[in-house]
Amino acid sequence: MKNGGEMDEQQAVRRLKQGDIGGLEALVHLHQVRAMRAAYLVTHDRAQAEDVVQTAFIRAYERIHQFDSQRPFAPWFLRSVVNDAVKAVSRSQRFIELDNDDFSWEETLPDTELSPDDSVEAEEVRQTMWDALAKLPAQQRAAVVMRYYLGLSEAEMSQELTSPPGTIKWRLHTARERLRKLLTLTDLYLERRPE
Amino acid sequence: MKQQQITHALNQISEQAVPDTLNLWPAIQTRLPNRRPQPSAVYPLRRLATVAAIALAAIVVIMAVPPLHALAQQIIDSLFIASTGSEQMTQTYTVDIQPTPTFAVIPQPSGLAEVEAQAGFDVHEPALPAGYVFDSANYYAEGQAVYHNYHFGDQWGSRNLVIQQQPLSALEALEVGPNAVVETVQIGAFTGEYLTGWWDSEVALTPIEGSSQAVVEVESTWNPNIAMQWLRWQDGETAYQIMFQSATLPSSEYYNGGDTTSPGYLTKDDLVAIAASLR
Repeated sequence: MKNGGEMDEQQAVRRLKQGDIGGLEALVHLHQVRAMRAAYLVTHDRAQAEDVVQTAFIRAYERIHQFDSQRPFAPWFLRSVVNDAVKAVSRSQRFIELDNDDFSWEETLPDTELSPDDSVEAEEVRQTMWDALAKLPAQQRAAVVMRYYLGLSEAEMSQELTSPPGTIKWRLHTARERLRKLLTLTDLYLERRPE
Repeated sequence: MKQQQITHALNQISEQAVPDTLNLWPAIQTRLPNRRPQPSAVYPLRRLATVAAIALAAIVVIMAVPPLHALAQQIIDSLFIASTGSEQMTQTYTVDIQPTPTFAVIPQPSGLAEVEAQAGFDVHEPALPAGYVFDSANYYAEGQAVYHNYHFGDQWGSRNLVIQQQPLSALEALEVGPNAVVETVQIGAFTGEYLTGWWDSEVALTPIEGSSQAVVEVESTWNPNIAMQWLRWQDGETAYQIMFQSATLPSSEYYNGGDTTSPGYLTKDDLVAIAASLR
């Protein structure tokens, strides 16, 4: 034990495998915030994200005996959360998914005549990112979240995602292309802001 | 720079929406299923021999208690009759945990011709849906019932089809939940009954100190969403039943309608077609 009786991840997994519900509680407290944030970035809906994360924890509880204790829990769990979030978005069809040719990044840019105040600028960058994410197909949005929020390498993403390698490669490539455009436009936007 | 910028923006967006004070545990607790994730050591047993004996006893109980038959991937011998009690029921048994020859109640799987010889009647075979293969057959002398088991591809457990055939006179009542919805279906010239769901059971087995017995407590709740479909009908003096299981036990899919999207899933109409094909 450490931190005043709190369990670390390995202890929590070990206890959960022994049928101790306290192990699950510890895992929830360890990973709920990061899982919720990742799910929210994919779903753009807090209630839906919460349902996804709760369900993922319950599934982890049911399937903990399939989990290899030698591996870290967080990557395994967070990747499943992102995958579930993609499925939830697909089911709800909340987003209008656009093909590459129809996608206009310019429309996501905020007004360039706004004040140069840093906090305003940061807020506009966030809004730009948020709007741009919303226009990505769910799978590509998940790729962005996995790569840039969860910090997974492409190899890690390919290893865990349950899609054929060719599909993953295509998805990552497309997401990267769109990200490149987004970043380019964001940089251009920032560069042409008034001093 | 670019990666840092996008990561920073994602962090800020998500931190605004999801504060560090988030606590999902109370909500998760209320959603936890009424069962444990199969602990590796539930009971403080002293000897492996005792563990083996209890396992054998559990098998006997599973075979003896209708709501537990699904756990053993077996089929019960009875009709659809709604439980007169609540959706939840608790049954308590005392069983002998010393293995004896009477434990040999589970027949060995064999081929259809072999069980046909044991049963003494013609076993009717189905026209199988594409991808399904014969797995095994069993004959239960007590219910004079033949079971033939099939699965889709290599997905034993998540795509299981079990056909039961026995004399109508040997059929026993099957208790289903009071909220179970039984539909009437037409199978050629015969009328059958169809329903989905099964009992969600939790078994607690406690050895009695200083004795060779154990108390088995079975708490069962009818769950219409469990990934099992049932079709029963009679043709003259012969009773038939088809059971289709579309998710592995235990899994979240098992308790939530099954995996209905991947190949090999069978609908009610598919089961009716299989029933009509039995020759």
